[in-house]
Amino acid sequence: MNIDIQKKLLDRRRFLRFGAGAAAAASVAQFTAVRALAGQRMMGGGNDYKALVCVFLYGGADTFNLLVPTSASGYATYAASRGDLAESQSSLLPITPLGIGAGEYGVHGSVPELQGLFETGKLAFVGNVGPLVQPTTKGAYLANSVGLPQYLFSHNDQQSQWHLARASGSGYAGWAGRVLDRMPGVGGSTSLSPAIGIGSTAQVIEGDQTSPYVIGEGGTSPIESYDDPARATLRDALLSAESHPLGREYAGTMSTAIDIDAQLSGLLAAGPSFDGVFPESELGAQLRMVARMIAIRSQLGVGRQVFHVGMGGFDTHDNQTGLLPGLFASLSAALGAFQQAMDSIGESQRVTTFTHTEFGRTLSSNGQGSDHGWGGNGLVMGGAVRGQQIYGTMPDLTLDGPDDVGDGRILPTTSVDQFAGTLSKWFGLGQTQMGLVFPNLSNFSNPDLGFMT
Amino acid sequence: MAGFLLPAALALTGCSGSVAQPAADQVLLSQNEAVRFLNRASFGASPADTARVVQIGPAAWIDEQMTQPTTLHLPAMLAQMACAPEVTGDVNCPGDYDYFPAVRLRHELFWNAAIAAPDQLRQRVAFALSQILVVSERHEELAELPFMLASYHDELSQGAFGDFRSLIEAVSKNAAMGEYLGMVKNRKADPVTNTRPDENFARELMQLFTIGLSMLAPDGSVVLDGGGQPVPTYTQTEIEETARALTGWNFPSDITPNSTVEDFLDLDRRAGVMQPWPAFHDDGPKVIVGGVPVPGGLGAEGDLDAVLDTLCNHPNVGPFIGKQLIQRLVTSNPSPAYVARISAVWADDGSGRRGQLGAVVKAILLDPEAIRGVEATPHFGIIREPVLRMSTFFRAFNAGSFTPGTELAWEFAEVLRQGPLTAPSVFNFYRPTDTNQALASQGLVAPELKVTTHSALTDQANLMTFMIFDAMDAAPEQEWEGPLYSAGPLLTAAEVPQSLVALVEGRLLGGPLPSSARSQIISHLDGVPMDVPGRPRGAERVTELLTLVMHSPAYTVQK
Repeated sequence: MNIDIQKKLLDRRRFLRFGAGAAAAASVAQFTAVRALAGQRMMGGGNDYKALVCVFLYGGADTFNLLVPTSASGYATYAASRGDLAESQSSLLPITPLGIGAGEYGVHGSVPELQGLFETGKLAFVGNVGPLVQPTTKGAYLANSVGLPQYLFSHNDQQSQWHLARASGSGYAGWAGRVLDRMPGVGGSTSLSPAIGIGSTAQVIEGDQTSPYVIGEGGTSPIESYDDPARATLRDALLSAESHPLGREYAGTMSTAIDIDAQLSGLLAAGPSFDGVFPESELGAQLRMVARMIAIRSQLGVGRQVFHVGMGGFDTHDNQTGLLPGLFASLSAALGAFQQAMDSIGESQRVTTFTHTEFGRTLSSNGQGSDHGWGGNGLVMGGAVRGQQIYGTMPDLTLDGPDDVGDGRILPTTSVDQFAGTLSKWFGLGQTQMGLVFPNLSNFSNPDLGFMT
Repeated sequence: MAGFLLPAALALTGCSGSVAQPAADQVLLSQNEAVRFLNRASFGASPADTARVVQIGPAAWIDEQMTQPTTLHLPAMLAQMACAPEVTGDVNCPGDYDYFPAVRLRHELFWNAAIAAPDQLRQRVAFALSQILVVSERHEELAELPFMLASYHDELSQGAFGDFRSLIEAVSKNAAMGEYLGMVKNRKADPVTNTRPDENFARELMQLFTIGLSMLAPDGSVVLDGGGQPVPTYTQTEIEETARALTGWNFPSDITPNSTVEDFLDLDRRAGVMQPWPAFHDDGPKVIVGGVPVPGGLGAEGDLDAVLDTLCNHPNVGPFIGKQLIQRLVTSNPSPAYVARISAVWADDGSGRRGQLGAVVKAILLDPEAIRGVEATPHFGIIREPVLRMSTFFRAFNAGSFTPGTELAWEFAEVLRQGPLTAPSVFNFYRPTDTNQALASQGLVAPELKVTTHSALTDQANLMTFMIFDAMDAAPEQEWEGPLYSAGPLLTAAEVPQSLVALVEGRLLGGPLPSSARSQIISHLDGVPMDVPGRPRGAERVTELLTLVMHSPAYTVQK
């Protein structure tokens, strides 16, 4: 929220008059909530805590420029396909994946933090991931002889297939929401949802029963003007009297906002602020809020949480060479800061961060940028990641080659289902539940990609 | 209570012709119905408009609205700003030119028009169109090109009651849209540099602006094939072919285009209508959506015409665009029959003409499902967009305009999560199908929930509280830079809490508060003092009630 208005609203408290005697009265509900949490502290949050952090790169990130082959033949193929979009070989930062060695791969010049995390075993890449119904060859794609994801290359449909980790069938709930649905009680005794969106909600964390809580980058605020208990009672009467189906959703959201602000505001204010740790970017501000929430998880007594943060601007049809360095730099700096924050509060083993993006982009150029692709490279980060490796199968980047379904749109070699399934297994989803949550996972021979300990 | 139909003989408007009027034109509305009608057909029911609608009926009011002169933003911005680089070039601009005052002015002009412009229906429809044919200042370049954005908004205002084919052509050629979706400077394939045309505009023109992804029946339902699957409206290849057809356009300029790529790419950004550059247009034959062949040699204009004619004649457009207009104005969940009726008007306005937005908008607002409202359909209505939550209050209480040259109008966009041309992407603030799990299980959507999250509604509610206390004309807070609302009638009514509640219900809701809460509120207000030191008499009761009502679901859902 804009700083000026926020400050004015805080100043506003001094001017509002709520009637005799009300000025000094604390909100009864708030007082009660704090006492309840004090009780919970003694029940303990436990060491069985895990968190997943979904970093969604909206627009379709050109991740074939994030992880780049640097062998002589590999780079030559890449450069020939990418034309004016190719990163110069000298600009790439070298990495030494275990089992592959030096000189084969590099990362974009703007991501030194990601390079460092990779080389110290806290980050891994998963090559050429994308929505697939089943393993698909170029021939099968062109012949339309297997089930294919619907509406390929359309932003919102492909975003949806990543959120759902399912490229066919119907249903509303996102994959992490479906996972949380099958972990009842992980919220502990707090009413805070285990699914938390920073700044906005997102389908990936919406389940059939799990309903996300959305917190601003700056934390929570009270809804002003209800210090007077009589007025709060009237407000609640208006909320509970609502019978209109749309009105009831608004009423529920407002009730939850009031309730959760009462629970969280004191804890967040007393918790670490991570001042100076995070860059002041769109992603940095959101990840800082995630870090602040994880830092108070013991006081809340929660067992599992999934966070969603988003970064836009990746739809680089235009001016890609001008825009991509800044986008990747911002991503890298924010992820580096987040891992540093998790290390500093001792949660590195319990928090795993990963990327989603609706598609990679066309290897070929439109003269000023790239268009919508299909497969792209993903990453996972955290102390529990078996890092310094590239999982999955890197594609052949030759235009019109065996992995190119047209104009350099690369056919994925690993499905989103497998990517999400591997994360979910670490998160604690039971084997018997895996097929229910990921119905297409059994189409793939390798349901666990092996990148988690 | 439903609007009652008067026999033609009793209609207050003269019925001069020999052609029998359809029943919808004869409808008259009660006071409350008029308020609810105006909340769909304007930025909020003002007392004056409410009286007018009661007097002459909604159909005649719509007809009157369509004769009002169009409020335009660009001329007003040019009149107030000394320098407009993207309009006149930067010849007269200082070296340290700052675009930000013009950015703020564009927001200020939008809000002042929303609050007080006479062409309310046109402006409301333009606002709806801006959420379908999306251009946004949330863009690397357009963030600094407020005059270009104003010119785009004016295009929507001017086209709001015209034919859709003309509007989509104006939108396709508009420089702001060209910048936003890559139509500008898009050039034909170059085998030497191994480039091909940018597909961005071709794709979104089809997916978002005209026909959508899958075949629709006139009632808006998705057509399914024999295997129960939706039928796509176009293929990836057809996107590529359409992208070829849309090559060769650039910003307007005075120079004669020559054939170098550098000249083409270096041309300065200018607001207005793009120009074709033949050297960069792919003039070969193409096969576009639906397998329609486009012969070679038509040039950029001819190819654009062929693409737009094909798209605008596609049967999807009526249900695809028509249903979204219903969702912006009347209800998030129209019945299939309602959508079908609007599709029919899209296909033929009664005079054999297709895509006539004036006729479509009139049909949407006068449809029996809209007039009967929540009495007939329990889920009827919309979670009010954040902009409309504020504007409805301003208009209900005859608010004035923003203090010129200040930041508040611009700040509104961030606090409200919504503003004029501020969508986070070409997919707008929300999608037509957005919903949550609880509503999805009831078969309902509520796109506006996307901007009504826990975090958003807190900020929106607090802004409303701020305004209620600080913008009272009887006692304005010095720091408030926004419109002042006319509190006189409220302060007078405050003597009798029952009257105050009735006044607020009448102005803001067009209907009663829930009865159980209502009686509690009246009892409570009885105990609130009329005289509080430092405040006008009655102000304590007024601000207390307004805060409760504007934060409530009863106000937040437009019915």
